[in-house]
Amino acid sequence: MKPFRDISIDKKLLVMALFKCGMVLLISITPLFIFQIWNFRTTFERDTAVLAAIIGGNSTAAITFNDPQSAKEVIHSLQVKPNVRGAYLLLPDGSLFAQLGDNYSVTLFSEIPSGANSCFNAGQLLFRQPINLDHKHIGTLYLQLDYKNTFNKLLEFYGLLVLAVVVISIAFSLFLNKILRRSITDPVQTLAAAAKRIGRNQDYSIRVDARQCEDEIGQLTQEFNQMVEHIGMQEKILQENREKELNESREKLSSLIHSIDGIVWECRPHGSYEFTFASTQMERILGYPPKDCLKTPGFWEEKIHPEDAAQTLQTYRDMVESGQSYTQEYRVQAADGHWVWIRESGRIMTENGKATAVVGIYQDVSEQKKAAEQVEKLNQKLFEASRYAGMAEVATGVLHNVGNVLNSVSVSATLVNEQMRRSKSINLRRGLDLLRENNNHLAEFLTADPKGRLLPDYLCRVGDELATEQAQTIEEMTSVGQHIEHIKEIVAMQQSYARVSGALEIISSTDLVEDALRMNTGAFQRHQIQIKCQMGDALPRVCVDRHKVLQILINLFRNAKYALDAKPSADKQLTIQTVQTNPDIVSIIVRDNGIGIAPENLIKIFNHGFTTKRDGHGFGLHSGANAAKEMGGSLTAESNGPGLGATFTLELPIAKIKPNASY
Amino acid sequence: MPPSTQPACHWVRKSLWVFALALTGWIGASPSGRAAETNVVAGEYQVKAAFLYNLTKFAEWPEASFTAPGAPLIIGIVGDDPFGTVLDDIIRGEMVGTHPLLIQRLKADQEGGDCQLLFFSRSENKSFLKQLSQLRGKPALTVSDIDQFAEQGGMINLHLIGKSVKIEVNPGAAEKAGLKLRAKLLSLARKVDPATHD
Repeated sequence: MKPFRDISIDKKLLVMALFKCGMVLLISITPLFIFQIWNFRTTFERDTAVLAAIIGGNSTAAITFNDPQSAKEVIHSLQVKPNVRGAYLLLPDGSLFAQLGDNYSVTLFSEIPSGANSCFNAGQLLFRQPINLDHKHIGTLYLQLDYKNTFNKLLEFYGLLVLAVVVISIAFSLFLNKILRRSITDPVQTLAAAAKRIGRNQDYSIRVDARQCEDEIGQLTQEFNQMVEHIGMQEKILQENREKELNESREKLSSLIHSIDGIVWECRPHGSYEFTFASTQMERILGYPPKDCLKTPGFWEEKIHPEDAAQTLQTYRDMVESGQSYTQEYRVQAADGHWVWIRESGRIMTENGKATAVVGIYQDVSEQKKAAEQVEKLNQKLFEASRYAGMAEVATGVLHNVGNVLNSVSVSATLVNEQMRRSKSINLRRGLDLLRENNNHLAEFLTADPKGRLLPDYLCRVGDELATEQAQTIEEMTSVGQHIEHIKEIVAMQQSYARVSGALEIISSTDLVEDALRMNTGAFQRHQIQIKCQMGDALPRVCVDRHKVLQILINLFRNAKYALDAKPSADKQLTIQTVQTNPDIVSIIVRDNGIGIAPENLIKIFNHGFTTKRDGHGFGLHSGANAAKEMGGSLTAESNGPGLGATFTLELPIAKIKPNASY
Repeated sequence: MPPSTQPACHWVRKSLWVFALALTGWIGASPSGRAAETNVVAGEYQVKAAFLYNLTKFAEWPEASFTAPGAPLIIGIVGDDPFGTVLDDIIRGEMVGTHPLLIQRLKADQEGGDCQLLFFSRSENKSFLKQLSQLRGKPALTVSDIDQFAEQGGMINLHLIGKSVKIEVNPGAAEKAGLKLRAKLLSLARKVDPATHD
């Protein structure tokens, strides 16, 4: 069963009318009914009282003059009342004077309370009427009346009456409902139907006939019509505005699409991939009118460069299959025959997991390609230039190192030269010349001639001197040989590093220190320098140019060696320490206890051309600091003053990313 | 002390007595009564005395027949008094309306013009007609137990039928005298019209 709110207005009105009617009837009939019952009882009682009074009054003479016959006649007159069951006239002594009916018993009428004249008992009314004459009690009349029958009849009557009223009311309600229906429900239903039709068909030309009446429903109908008209007009304006806006935005979109520097397109994802849309840029870029390429199966396929076609189409198919966006570049032949580099960016449109279309853009990247080629050439040139520059730098480095060694060689050579110049070989010749002159009388000469007798000793002394000279020369020449060996080592080392020069590597700082030490081992041994290494455990690897770091370290070692020259051989100490000083940096600390650096020189030592060495040229620390900076690190110096040693710190960046670029 | 303010018990006792008397008379007069013959006669007049008293309640006198509102209603007994003290006992202290009851026993030739009720004893069965004619025009209720009293111009006749006392009324005579008899009395009584007997 439908809830009340969902049933039609018609039925609602009917139900409400019936309910109202029923309530009115109930409310009006109930008190009326109660009143009627009460009234009936009181009336019945009163009527009985009147009757009793009359009978009693009429009986006075009969009692007074002791005429039971007359009394009987009077009492029997009650027979005409059907509800009288019995009437009994009693004298004051309790004897029965006259009676109607034969139900008299003292107990029956003793039900009447002593203060009252009557009582209702078992569906009957018992009534007591004292009979007085001139204030004298001469007898009592008792009446026994049937109350229930009369009451039931009354109830029956009222029941029928209520039924009749209800039936008439319902009939009247139905009648009223019919009238109401004509004037309220029907117009409302018409309105509802019209509203439904309008809502369903969006037909705002529908109007409801409002001429029927002038009441609220009529007004509602008129308002409804006006509202519909208003909505219709608004809808029309809205529609126009919408179309206008749509056209504007369509034009905007179109002009935007067509003004993009690239061919915006849409094509089918399968089959011959014919275009369903191509922007006008197609004609500008490639010279094909868009309408020519639309709907032409295989249009684009034919224009792709034969070398690129297979790869391009394969990529396209794979991407359609996987539904991924993609970008690819290939060559396409323009209408005038020249080849155009195209970058294709595409996106697969899917619906329920199935590719429905591919949209994308073709960009002419020929210029970019050309530019890229030029950049490539330029890079190559730059590379070569930098190579030369690098070579020059290497040469400088090598020459510096070689120069350092050549100083020693030069000293040795000078020494040997001077020795040779001051050689005692001329004394030997003089002795030998004396022997040649006296070749004929050699024995005489040697024995007789005073000169000759001295000659053997002289020769012996010359021989000793020559032997000493030879030993000195051999010693110097050995030293020169060693220096030349060192030069050879330097050159070989430079050659081995030159191959990887310029490339950043991820490398352990400990390895670098060890490599550099190895290169200087000989020199340190010669100068009796004690090396102390304090390598940090599990240090992160650094991202550096191995060659440059080695160069810096070798230079630092050499400087240290020089600074330690003045110290006695027992106290030449060089400490090398590697430590991670912060999350991004590993530091290599080179500390010596040599001559130290004066405070005024501390700020100048990295300047180009500054040196405190007799034969230095002020290049090593300068280039070392620059190289450290280029690698993202630094080279700094500390000293507490002359004679107090110096500390050089090389900071190197910790590797974060895999290096593949060159600089 | 006015009678109306007498204690109720007195009333009740009195009335009970009156009706007991009337009933006793009635029962005594009944064939089944076991009363002695003398009692029957005595009972008859006891009943008649009660009747006489009761008649005052079923008749109405014109106002003019009383000298004052509190004047007594006089019951006159003409001729030999058959009631003895019975009637005195009955009416003692009784009132009719505002009027106390009073008994006046009249001599044979004494005029009863002041009485409101006149009872003619049987002893007057020869002379009552003359007396009736003398009373003509005066509002006196004439009662008797003389045979044919009502037919001969009297107003009420108390006569024995069998053992019970019955009332005959001549409404015409009462009307002429300006008296009104209650319908209740008339309904009990046998009505007599002298014209039909003349």
